[in-house]
Amino acid sequence: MDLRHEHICLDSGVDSVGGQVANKDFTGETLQMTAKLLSENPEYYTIWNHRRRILLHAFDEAGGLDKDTSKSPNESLPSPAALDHDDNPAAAGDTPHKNKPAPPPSNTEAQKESSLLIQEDLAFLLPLLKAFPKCYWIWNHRSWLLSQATQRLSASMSRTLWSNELKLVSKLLSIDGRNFHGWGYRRTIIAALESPPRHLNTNPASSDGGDGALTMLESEFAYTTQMINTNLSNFSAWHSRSRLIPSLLEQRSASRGERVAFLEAELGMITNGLWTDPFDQSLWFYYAWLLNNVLPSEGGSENVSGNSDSNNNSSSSSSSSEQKRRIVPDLSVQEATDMLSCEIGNLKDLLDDTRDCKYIYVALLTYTPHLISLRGRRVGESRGGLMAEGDELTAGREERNEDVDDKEAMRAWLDELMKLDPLRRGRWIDIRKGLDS
Amino acid sequence: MSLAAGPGRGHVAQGQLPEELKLVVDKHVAYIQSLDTRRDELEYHLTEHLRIGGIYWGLTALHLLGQPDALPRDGLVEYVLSCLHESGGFGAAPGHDAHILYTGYSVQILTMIDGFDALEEKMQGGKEKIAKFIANLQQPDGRFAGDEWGETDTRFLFSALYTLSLLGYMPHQRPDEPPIVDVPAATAHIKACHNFDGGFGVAPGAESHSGQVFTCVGALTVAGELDSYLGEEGKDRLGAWLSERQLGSGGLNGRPEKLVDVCYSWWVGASLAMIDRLHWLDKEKLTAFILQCQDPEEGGIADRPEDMVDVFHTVFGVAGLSLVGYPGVGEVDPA
Repeated sequence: MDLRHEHICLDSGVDSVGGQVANKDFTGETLQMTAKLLSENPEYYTIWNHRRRILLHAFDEAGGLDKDTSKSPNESLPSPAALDHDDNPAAAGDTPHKNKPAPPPSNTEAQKESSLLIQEDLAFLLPLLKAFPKCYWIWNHRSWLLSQATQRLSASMSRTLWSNELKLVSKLLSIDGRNFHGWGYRRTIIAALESPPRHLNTNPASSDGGDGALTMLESEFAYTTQMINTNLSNFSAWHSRSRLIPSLLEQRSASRGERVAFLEAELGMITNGLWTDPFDQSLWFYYAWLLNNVLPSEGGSENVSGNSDSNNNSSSSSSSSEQKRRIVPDLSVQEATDMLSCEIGNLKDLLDDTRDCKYIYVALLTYTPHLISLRGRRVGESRGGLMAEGDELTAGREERNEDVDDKEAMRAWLDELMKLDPLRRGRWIDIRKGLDS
Repeated sequence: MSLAAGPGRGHVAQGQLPEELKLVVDKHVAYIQSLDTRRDELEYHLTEHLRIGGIYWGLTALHLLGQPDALPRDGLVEYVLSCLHESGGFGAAPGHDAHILYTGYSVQILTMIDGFDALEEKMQGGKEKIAKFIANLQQPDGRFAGDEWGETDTRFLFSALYTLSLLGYMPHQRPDEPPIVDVPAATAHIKACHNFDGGFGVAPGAESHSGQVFTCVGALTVAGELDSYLGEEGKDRLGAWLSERQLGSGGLNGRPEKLVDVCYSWWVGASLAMIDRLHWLDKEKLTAFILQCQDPEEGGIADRPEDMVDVFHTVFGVAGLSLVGYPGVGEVDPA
C-alpha cells in the first residue's frame, strides 16, 4: 500500500471510530479498529480514550460497577476499599462516591467476563509495550487496566494479575534497567500488592511489616541487590535502593547497633566498587547518599541531625521525619566525625591511586568543609566544662591548624579540577570564592 | 504543522570551521513555514496527536528568531480555537480529546498572538472556563491529572500553574477571590518529588530527570516559592547535578550516563538560569554543540549532530541559544 493511500485509510479509521463512539456504537468492530490504529500510532491518545470508553461499556454490559466511579482520576491507584469486599459484604449496595468505589458485586460471571476483557487488552498491549517501552500512553493504559481489575475483580483474581505485572516489569527492566517508566510502574505494583486484604496475601515475597501489614520491602531490596550485582553501573537500581532503606530498617525494627552496622556495610560495599571503577557515576551517587546520612543537617544540638533550632522553612515536624529517614537517626558528633574522617582518608588513598579522576576531587571538596565544621562542633562541645582551660586552648589551636591545612588542600584540589574538568569552571570558581572569603 | 522529522540533518557545512559556525536564522524560519505544507506525508498524520504542540514550538522559535509574523495569525487563531472543547480544555488537534498539556500550549499560543478576544467571541467567559478545566484536574494530594483518565505527572502540575498564571487565575493574582487551585498542596507534591541529589523526579520516589527538574523548578518559580524552599544550599546541590549534564561534546544529557540531546539545552539551561547558576555551564561549548545540530542548508535543528531535524528540537535549540545570550536571538523567560 503506498504511503498516501495508507494515511487516507488511517484518517478514515480515526473518523469512523470517533463517529461510532459519539453514537455510543461500542461494538467489537470498533474495538478492533482502535487496535489497528494504535498499533500504527501508539501515541494517538484520543484513540486510547475511545478504547477505554468501549471497554467501560463492555464492563457495564458484563454487569459491572456503577458507571460514575469507574473513570474518575482517583481510581488510577488501587484503593484498599476495593479489595476489601470479602470483608465487607454489607457495602455492596452502598452509593459509591469518588474516593471509595462500591465493591465489585459477588456476581462471578461478571467478574469472569471482565477478567477476560482485561486480560485480552493486556495481551494486546504487550507487543506494543515491548516495541515502544518509553511511550507514556501505553504505560498509562496498562495502569488503567490494572486499576479496573482492582475495582471489578475479586481480590485473588486481581492479585494474580498484579503479580504477573511484577514479572513483566522485571523482564522489561532487565532489558533496559534505566527505563524510568518501568521503575515507576514497579512502585505502583508494589503498592498494590502491599494493600489489603491481608489474609488473601499468599505472596511468598511479602514479609511482616510489624503491625500485620505485609510489605515487599525485603524482596524489593533484594531485587536492587540483584540488579546491582548484574550491572554495577545501574543508576536507577541504586536510586531505588536508597529509597527503600529507611522503611526497610524501620520494618526490621533495627536496633541502633544494627543500623550502624548496616551503614558501615553499605559504605564498605560502595568503597569496594569505587576502588574497582572510580569513574562510575552511579557509585558516586550512592556514596553521596550514604554520606548524607552521616553529615549534619540544620541545627546545632549534640546530635548530628538536631533540628529544634533550625531556621529553615520546614516545620519541626518535617525535620523530625527527615531525622527518622536517616540510617542512624541519633548519630553523635563524635561518631560522625570519626566516620567522615575515615571516608576522607579513603578518598585520599584513592586519589593517590588515580590522580585523573575528577569525582574524587569533587567528593573531597564536598566533604572536607563538613569535617571542618564537625570538628568545630566537637571542640565546642568539649568547652561545655569537660576540659581544663589550657587543654581547651591547645585543642582549639590544633583544630585551627588542621583547618588551615585542609583549606590549603582544598585549594590544591580546585586547581586540579580546573585542569581536569574545565567545563564546570564556573562552579569551581564559585567554590574558590567561598574558600577565600 | 508537521512534526515529521527531516528532511534536513544536523551537520557542519563542508569545510566550515568551528569558529565559523553561526545560526542560520532565515533557513530555520523557512523550515518552520514549510512544515504545514507537508500534508501529503504519512508522518504528518502520524503526528496529529501533537499538532498544537508543534505549532507552539514553531511559533515560539519564530518569536525568538525575530520573525513572529512568519506564520499567518488568522490561520493560527482559527486552528487553535478549533481545538477547544466545551469543557474549556484543548485537544492536540480538532477532534482530539482535551488534555492539560495541549491546553497549556494553546493558551501560550493565544498569548503570543494576542488571541483572547477571539476566544471570548467563540466562548463567553472562555478564560474562566479554561481555568476551571485545569482546576478540576487537581487531585486531593496536590498533584494534577492530565485528563479525565487520571495519569498524573509533574509535567501536568507545571502546565497547570503556568497556564493559570498566563490566564491570570493563580490565587495570588486574584487575592480577593477564593482560590480555584490549592497551591500549597501542589508545591507540597513538588517537594515530595525532590531527591537528595538535588534533582526532581516524575513522582515521589522517582529518580531525578532534567525534564522533571525543569517542570518542578518552574512550578516553584510560578508559585513564588523557589528561593524560600531551596535556599542557597539547595540551589548549590541542584546546580551541581545540572552542571554535570554537560558532556565533552558541549551538549547536555537528561540524567547520568545518558546521551546528549539538544532539547536539554533548554530543560537544563532554563533550570540553571532559574537558580542563578547558568555560569556553571560552559556556554561557548554548548553554543557550538547546538549550532552543530542545525542543518545549515535546509534549516531545522536535530537532537544531536547527524540526526534528522524536527520542530521540537528546533525551538529548544534556539531557546538554549537565547539563554546563553547568542546574539540576535530574543530573550526568553526561563519559567
